[in-house]
Amino acid sequence: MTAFAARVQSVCVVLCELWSTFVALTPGCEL
Amino acid sequence: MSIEVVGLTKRFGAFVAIADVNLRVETGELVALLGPSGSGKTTLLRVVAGLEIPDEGRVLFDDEVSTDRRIADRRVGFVFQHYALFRHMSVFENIAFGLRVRPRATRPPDAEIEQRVHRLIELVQLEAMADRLPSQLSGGQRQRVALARALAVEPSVLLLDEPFGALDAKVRKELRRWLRRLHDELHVTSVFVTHDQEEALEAADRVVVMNQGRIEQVGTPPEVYAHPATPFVYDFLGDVNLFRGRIEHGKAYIGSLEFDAPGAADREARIATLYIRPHQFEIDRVGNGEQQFRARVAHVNPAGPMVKVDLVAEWGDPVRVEVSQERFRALALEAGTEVFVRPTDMSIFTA
Repeated sequence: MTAFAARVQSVCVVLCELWSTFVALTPGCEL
Repeated sequence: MSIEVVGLTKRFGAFVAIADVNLRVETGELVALLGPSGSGKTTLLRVVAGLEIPDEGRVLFDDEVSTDRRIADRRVGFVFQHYALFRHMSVFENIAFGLRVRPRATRPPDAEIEQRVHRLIELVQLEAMADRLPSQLSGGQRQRVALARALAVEPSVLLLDEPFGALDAKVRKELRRWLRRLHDELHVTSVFVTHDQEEALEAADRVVVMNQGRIEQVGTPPEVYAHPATPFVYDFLGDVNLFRGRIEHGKAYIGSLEFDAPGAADREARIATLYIRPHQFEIDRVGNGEQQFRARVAHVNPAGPMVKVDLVAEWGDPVRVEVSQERFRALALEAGTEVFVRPTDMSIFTA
């Protein structure tokens, strides 16, 4: 994996965690 | 609230992430899902949370099927490896978020939100940091904020995905002890994912060891460490030496060497792998001819409570042995020393 691909992957993981947190805390919000 | 998963299977395309998993977590338990990368532990946690929909099987909360319920309706608190804090919000606002976004009918009044958040800030010992932004905190402090935010909505179940994975070794140790104390105080049913066996063995009431989408063993930390059910669990939980040999009527053989193996008493001659942990050996400078093999010291690492001694056995294989500091000094071991080694215990798995 290139450094750029690794960077993109880690950004995606962080975004996914943020989105999942938002969904988990927000009533009525669906994935 | 108890959690039960029944016949759970989850696939991503052709890849089977978890395969027919059954598990029950009792109310108030702290359970660790332990396994290497790709073993399915995070997928299992996400399915329990409602962040993934299983292909087969059910998730039950307090014996009630929850598979079709949304994550927020399951009252699940989730903590991620990278904290997932909202970076534009202060510590206080991050923790208050789950309460502020509630519909007006169920939202507590502002004064109560403030009171609850301050109580949580005290609980996670960040009193002086309430107005700071996440970027002004250390990793350990950020994870404590994430935990307080998850607890703010008073979850019935707390799920933590590699909560200490992004922290350095010292902070990890401190935080896992703190999590244990916090759990003892709150008794919220909690499941955390880790690939660190030391973390699982130290913090959890029960450990679920996973491999390739399946559960290998479930037990208390002493159970899984002292009585591993499978070779995988033996290998994954702590250092172990593997010897290819055979067993026959209560004896184990490595080459021409013979050892007592009470666990193999009734078995007929079979090819076997002998698993011996580094502390399950006795070393001596003088041989007494009984159930010993000869070895040469290759390297000694005296740092830590036990001295790690790397040996080369007489048949050429490396053997890792641990001895106490007192024994190490008494034997005066150094690289090149000839020693005699006797296994004091072993586990045997036949092919």
